[in-house]
Amino acid sequence: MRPRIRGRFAAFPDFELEAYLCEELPAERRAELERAIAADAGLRTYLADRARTRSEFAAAHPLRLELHDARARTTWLSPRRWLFAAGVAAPALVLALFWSNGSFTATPAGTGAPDSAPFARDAIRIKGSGLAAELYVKRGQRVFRPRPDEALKAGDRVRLSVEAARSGYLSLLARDERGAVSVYYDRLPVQAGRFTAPDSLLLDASPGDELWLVIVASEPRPADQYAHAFAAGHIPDATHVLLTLHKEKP
Amino acid sequence: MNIEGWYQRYGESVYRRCYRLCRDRSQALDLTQEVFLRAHRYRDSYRGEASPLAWLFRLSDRCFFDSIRKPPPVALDEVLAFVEAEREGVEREFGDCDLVLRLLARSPDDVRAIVLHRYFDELDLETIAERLGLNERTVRRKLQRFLEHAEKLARGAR
Repeated sequence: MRPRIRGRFAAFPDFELEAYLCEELPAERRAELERAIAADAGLRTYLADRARTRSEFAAAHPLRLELHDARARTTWLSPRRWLFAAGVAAPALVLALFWSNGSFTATPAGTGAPDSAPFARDAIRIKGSGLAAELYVKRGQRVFRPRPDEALKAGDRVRLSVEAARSGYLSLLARDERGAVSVYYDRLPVQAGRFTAPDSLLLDASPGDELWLVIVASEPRPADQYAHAFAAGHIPDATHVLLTLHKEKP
Repeated sequence: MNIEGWYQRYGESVYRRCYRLCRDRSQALDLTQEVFLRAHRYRDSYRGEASPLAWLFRLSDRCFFDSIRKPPPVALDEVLAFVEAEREGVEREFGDCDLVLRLLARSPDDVRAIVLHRYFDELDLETIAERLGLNERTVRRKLQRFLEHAEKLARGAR
């Protein structure tokens, strides 16, 4: 691609005009631009109009940082919230009917919030590796299960919920984009069936996605023993699930 | 960082950027609020490598593309005409960036940053390279990749 596209004010790209208006343009360029302003009526008019709208903008549209929290506090009133609740309730009802008939569940099972998730220890059989895991996120007062590609925000509280075919010991390790591994849970005893981790994890503002490795092992093997291989990009030979935690980019 | 002070100083520029991206005044106002929320939330990650304006513009671009759930449609003939004109170096005015934007919704992050600098900030390749800490050849190559991707998209869908 050749640089053959002309800006509206040829000698000064749009970014420099914005920088000038924001008083960020370096002195030398500023002097050149001011000479051009004196000579070019179109540029003069454009910048004068912009200066006027700039001064009016903040007063007309004040910054409302508190909106975010307020939105979270009132989401239970919104129709979307009720649709979400109906969406959660319907499959939960179907699953409850299955359980009551002695049928089995497939992974992922149960879509209720962790605190209200049904617990059917004896009836659980899980396809595949015998382990399913999912995340619940609490943002403000709202609890939801993120879409696979949904970016989470700093300040979100994340809670892990697993469904295991057999009892064992749960370890949760996270690897960030630099390859650093953190251990969040180490040999937590879990019974077969659905289990929700006791604490939620608070996301900080550190950038980059994380890969979470959820292991339920039959032996109480220390999580540190998995960490080295995981840091090197290897997946340990144990019953596991991998989850990618997409984080909002600043 | 005094976020209120930043808003007084850069709010309108960010709004204008958002409006150029989404072409909807109400959405642009929402995006502007979101940009400053993110700036406030991630203030510790701003270390002054870029000017505040450049950083806020980058947040604006991300907020906009994050808000797109489904890439908007593109007309295939329009894409092919654009690609050919670019290859032949036909001189055009900046400003008609709508097609570029629709194509960008399908492009990776690194290409996006370069193309936005080129078409929205109207920067030349040398300045883009300097701003992103890349060499000029890489910038040229990624712009080329953007065109190839657009062409592939158009021809593949035919």
